[in-house]
Amino acid sequence: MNSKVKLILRSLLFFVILFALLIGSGFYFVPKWRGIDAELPRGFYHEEEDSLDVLLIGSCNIYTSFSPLLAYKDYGFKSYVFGTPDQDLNTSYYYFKEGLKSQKEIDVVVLESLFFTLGSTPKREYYNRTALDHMPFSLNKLQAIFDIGKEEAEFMSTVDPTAPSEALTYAGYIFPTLRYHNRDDLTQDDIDFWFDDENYRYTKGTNFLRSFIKNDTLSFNGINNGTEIKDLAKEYFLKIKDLAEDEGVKLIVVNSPNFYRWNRELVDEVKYFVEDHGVEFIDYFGNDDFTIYDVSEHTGRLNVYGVKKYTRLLSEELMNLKELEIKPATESVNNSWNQDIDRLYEELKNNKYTIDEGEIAFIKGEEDGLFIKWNDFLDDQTYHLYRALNDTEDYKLVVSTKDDYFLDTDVIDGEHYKYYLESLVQSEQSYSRVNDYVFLEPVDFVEKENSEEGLEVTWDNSHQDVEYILESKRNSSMNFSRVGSFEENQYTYTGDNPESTDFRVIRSVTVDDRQYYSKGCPLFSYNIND
Amino acid sequence: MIFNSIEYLLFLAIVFILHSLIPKKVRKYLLIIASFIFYASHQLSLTLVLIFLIVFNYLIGHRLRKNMESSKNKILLKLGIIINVLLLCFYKYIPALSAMLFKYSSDEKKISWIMPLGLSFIVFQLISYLVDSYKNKIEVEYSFIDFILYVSFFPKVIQGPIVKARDFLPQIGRKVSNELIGVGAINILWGLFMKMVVSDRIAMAVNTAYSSPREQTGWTLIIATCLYGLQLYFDFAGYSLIAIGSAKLFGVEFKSNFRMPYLSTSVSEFWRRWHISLNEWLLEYIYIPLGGSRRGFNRYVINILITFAISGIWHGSTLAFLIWGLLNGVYIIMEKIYSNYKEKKSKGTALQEEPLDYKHLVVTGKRIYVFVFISFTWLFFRAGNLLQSKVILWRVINRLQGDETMTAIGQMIAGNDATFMGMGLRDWKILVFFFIIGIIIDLIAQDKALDRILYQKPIWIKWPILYIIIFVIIIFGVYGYGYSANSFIYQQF
Repeated sequence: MNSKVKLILRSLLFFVILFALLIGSGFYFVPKWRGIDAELPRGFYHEEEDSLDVLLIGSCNIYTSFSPLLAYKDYGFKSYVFGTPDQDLNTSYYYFKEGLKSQKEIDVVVLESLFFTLGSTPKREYYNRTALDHMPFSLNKLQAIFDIGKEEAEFMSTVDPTAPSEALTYAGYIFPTLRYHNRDDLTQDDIDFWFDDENYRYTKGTNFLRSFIKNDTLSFNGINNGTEIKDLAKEYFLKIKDLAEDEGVKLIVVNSPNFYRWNRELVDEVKYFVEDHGVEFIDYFGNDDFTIYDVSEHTGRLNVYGVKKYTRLLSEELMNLKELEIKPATESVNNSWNQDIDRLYEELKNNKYTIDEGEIAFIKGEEDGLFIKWNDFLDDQTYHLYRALNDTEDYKLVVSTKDDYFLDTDVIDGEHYKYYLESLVQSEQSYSRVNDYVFLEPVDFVEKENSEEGLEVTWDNSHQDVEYILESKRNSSMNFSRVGSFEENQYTYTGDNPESTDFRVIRSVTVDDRQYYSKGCPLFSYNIND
Repeated sequence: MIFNSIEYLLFLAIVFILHSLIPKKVRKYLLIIASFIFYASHQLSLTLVLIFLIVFNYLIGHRLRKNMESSKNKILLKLGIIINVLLLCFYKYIPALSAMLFKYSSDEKKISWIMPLGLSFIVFQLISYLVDSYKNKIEVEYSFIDFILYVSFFPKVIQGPIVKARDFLPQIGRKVSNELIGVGAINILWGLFMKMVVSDRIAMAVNTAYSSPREQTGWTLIIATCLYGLQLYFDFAGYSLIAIGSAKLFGVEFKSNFRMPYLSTSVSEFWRRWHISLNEWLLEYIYIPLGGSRRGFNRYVINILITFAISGIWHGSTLAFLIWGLLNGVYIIMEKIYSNYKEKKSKGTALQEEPLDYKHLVVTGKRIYVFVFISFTWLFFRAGNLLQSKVILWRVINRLQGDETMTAIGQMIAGNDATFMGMGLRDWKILVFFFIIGIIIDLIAQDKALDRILYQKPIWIKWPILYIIIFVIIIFGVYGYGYSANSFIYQQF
């Protein structure tokens, strides 16, 4: 063999091996943007080929709103939320393409539309990495890198003199190992990372936001960062539409509920744009089915109860589509989905969440009564709430309502109440399990006085057989932490207190090994300089 | 497109592949086009200066060679040299002079313009070309195209090495052996290791100390200055290796630019091992024409000082660089005085061999002396101006604060996210480990051509070693976001 040819072949082999080593090493020597949001899309690659009926793409506003598992349980179609944080439409386009590689039989693709108007330019590396790093190497990934990473690469190299060159930015996405050198160490965690996806892949791409709030001022007209549809969104919406048409997939666009991010003008702008291009838009803005109890604290997105509602509402829309034909699946696939559903319910149970319709979700002590929240059937239903005092009294009807919550103010301090719900849906009756709660009035008054020893707190102790819990927090963003629990009604706080601290006193009783709390007394603060 | 960038490596790969595929006859045209693209990628508009220098010097050189016996040749040579030097002064020294004169005036009064990259190197090469043409030392026939390639050849155009036309021109169009290519690739890889893994990590510490000398203890500044000498070595030797390796891919061999300078036992030896291409140039075109050491001691002193003063102002346009150059000249003169004294003293007495152990000790002592003295000169070199140099010297003399320095080092070693000279324990560990590796390899390479030895090894030995080096560079190199994009130190000259 000619020495020149030999050299070329050897060089080629050398670089092929180097390429393989770089791709392979990327599994370990990669910046791990850990956190469930970043890791959820990885689960997609574990789905059985051509087993899905529906693919949902978009930002956090879809992967915190829709649960494929709950949809499967109630409606039987299989879906996956292939979403990433801050997913712009260019990323959605490549995710759609990526999805079609292994799920060629998809009937419907649902595009979440929050990022038609939102989104920063350029995207932060975190978002690009969470979108790109877990994608297996392919031509689609390369195209996505040069497209999605373009803004970052150009911005970084022109604005920030310490930033890497454009070529290095792209290379860092192709070979994540190139970004490894900024990491501090290589730990067992790095090795486990790629084998340890059981914990999040079972949700099929959903991140359940579990907290909820009761904030009367919260409404759909929240913060609005976007002002108009971005050019990028227009460009890639058309690409997504074309791709859907080419692949024979029905495209629908939705605006999943978000109490902070949407307003009527924005929704209409997106809706008219989408409909002008012949694509169906499902509008959830201002939907009466969602209340403040369906929203997650701080984020404005849906909590577990909201997810349950939204999944049902959207699933019904999907089921009405003639394009959706639920594919028969193998027994092992069905078994796997059923196991995942069991696991989800187990997980919810462990966290004391009940999401089945007609069941009481929770009871909470309020200042003037007990707040009872149940899961809505989202039909033209009537609910009858029944209550019994202790085990001695018969159940009596408290209220008949079409709402999914009730504040029971006809309650007496220290009494143990039991509730169950009767649901009347389309003339059919169903009954919830019994839930109970002990109503405790808030602590009436608190006196405080600074002494040489510290802060002397005295509170009302007219209630019998209760425990008083003093809690404190240093600043408004922190949670309250327990200072101590007392039977008497006095405490001298001598703790370290550089600035000021907020306090509250809570009453508590224990019945049948379960502890019940009053709504806390009004906050009072202590400043060392007082 | 600096040497340690992905852009350069891609560019190099493309040019190399094209060079291998096209007919031999047109290869030099490809290299010229590539060289101009490379140069223009740095400074498009200033490419015109490069073109002017090529045309002007070729015409003078051609004329000199054509009329060897002409009496006007000397005038022509002087004219050529003066124009080259004036151009260098115009770009390099006028802005500096203006900054000095209008120190307290508004920026509008100051003259400033960007110097064409590599101008100092190009001008020195062109002077050597003119002198060699005048002395008829260029024995090979060459065309204008060959000359363009000589001046613009991209592996050396920005930062050297300073290659003489008589060494470069005969190599144009030479057959490129597989071994040369393989060894060239190994050189590039090791150069990248020296630059990115060792030098740039040392730079993190040195830059921290030198960016705020008033906040540093004297000992920290001493450590930073010593480290700077090592940084400069790994930086420039690394660069030179990449340049040498890149040139080899196209069949051109440059001489070594460094030979373990810190193993020198005298300052004069140091300068025979450090930036060899520049110092050989200074020797051949400045020191020897001035008379060298042949015209008596006084003249020798003047010649040395002139040579090193030129070296100093070639490196930088501030007084600090002049002092740096002169300091080195003074060291060499003192060494000469000492060796003359020793020679005189030992005349007539039998030469006594030192015992072996003692000899090693003496050699080590001399090496330490060279390191300390040379490191002292780097203080002026790194500071870049007299004010900064004075601040550092003042702190070294008056604010040593050894205990504070030790406490800082101790805290860094103890962990707790503490840093010393801006680097945490992890960075220091990486630095020390790979610095030792670099030195060991350098020491072995003193006696053996390691690159050739590695090339000749079978693939199953050679390739894993190369892959390891590549991954060490990728994982432990300093580059990309989070670190400053370091350009090679000598690029500024």
